[in-house]
Amino acid sequence: MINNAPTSGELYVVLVSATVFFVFLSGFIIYFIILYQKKQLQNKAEREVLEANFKQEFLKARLEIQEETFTYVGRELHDNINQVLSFVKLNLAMIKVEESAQQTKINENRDLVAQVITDLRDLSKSLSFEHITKLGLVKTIENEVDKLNKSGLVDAELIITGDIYPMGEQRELVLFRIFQEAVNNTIKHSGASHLKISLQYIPEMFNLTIEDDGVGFSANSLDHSRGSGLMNIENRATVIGAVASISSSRGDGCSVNVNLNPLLQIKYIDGKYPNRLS
Amino acid sequence: MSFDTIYAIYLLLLLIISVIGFARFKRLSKAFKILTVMILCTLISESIKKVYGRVYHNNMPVAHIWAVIEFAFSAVVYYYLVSNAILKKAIVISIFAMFLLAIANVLFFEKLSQFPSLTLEASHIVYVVYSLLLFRQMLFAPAEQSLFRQSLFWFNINMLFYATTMFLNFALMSYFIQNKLDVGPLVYFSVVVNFIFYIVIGVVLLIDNSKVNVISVNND
Repeated sequence: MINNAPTSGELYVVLVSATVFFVFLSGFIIYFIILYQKKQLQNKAEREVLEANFKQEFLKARLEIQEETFTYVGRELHDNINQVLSFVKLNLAMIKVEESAQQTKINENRDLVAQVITDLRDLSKSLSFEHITKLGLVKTIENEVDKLNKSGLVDAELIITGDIYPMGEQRELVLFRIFQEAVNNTIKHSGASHLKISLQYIPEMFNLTIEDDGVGFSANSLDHSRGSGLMNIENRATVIGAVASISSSRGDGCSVNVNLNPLLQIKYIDGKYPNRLS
Repeated sequence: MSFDTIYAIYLLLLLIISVIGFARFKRLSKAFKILTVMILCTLISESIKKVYGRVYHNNMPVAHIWAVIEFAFSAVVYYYLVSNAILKKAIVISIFAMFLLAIANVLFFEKLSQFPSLTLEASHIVYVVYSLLLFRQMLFAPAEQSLFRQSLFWFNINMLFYATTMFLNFALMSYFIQNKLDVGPLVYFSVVVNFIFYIVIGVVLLIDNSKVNVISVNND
């Protein structure tokens, strides 16, 4: 027989047990959601660190390979091709002909070979890691600016402000490669007549700016080679803990700006620092 | 609303979920493909139960058989959701254990004409354990996707809610029967819980996508 009217005590038992149950269940679900989201954030942060480390190591390895290639090519130019050309120059000097027109031609060729030898030596030096680290950033850039002015390709101006301080071999090498990439872009694509390079030495901040008065570009109209050249600048800067910014608009030239805190020590995953040699 | 009408709506709901599941069958992960088959089997079993009840005035034999089959299906779904090899083995063993328990229950405790509460209660306890273990696994390897967009989360929370709520319902039902109280509200409560359970399963089958699901190595 069914009693349709439960007593207040029975109702109390039902209500309390149901309430306790649902409170526990809801509490568990809320706790799980909070814990899961916390774990998700933690995982995301760890993944980002891993990705950043991987990217940095990848870029570092790429730069090291590039440097090795440059050094090899520089050495080949200096030790092999330059030697052969010197030999050619000597041979030309030894040729004596009666006819003055022919002699003039030979002398002209000798001068041309001498010019090629000088150019190759300069190229070899600009590729050589040892040469750059020996001279330091400022002197190497000064040499490059002189060469640019002599070439007549562009009118280059170098401005150095502040007291020059060393930033470490690898950082200076990377900054020089950034400079080379920017100058290369200017000569190849911009059609600029004037190039302004400024090195700003402030105790807490080093700043390298390369500005040209060329045709400029808009970010979405970049072709592959120019786009990858600019990306190279940004990637190289990242490897030494610097920040590169490139600004340009059509008809307004281009400006590459690299900022580096010389006191900031970013550490590679292998425990080495970018201001030291690998 | 009469109980027959509610039952018809319940069957219609199962049919809709089966259609959803089979419409998205190719895109579902393996676990939820099995879940879709399970829902279709539930629809068939519930229909048979109704007819059997009309003919023999007692559909409990069907309930006894279905209790074991439903547990096996749910266990297989969890088998494909968990990644731990030991847990997988435990799940396989639990299916055989439940089968033995159901036979023992019919032989010694609840006859074929009685409600298989023992088998169902044991199943619900195991579901809670599975669900908690899966939550643990989720915490160890959280996916990038938002938790609320994960079919796994909704399925697992649904199982936890269903198993614990039905366990409470059975406990209260037993208390009500012992004290000769009207069990009508509890029956309606269980109907509501069942509706919620199947609606959420429908949602799970709608949002699951094997390509974005990174929950388990065996899930594709």
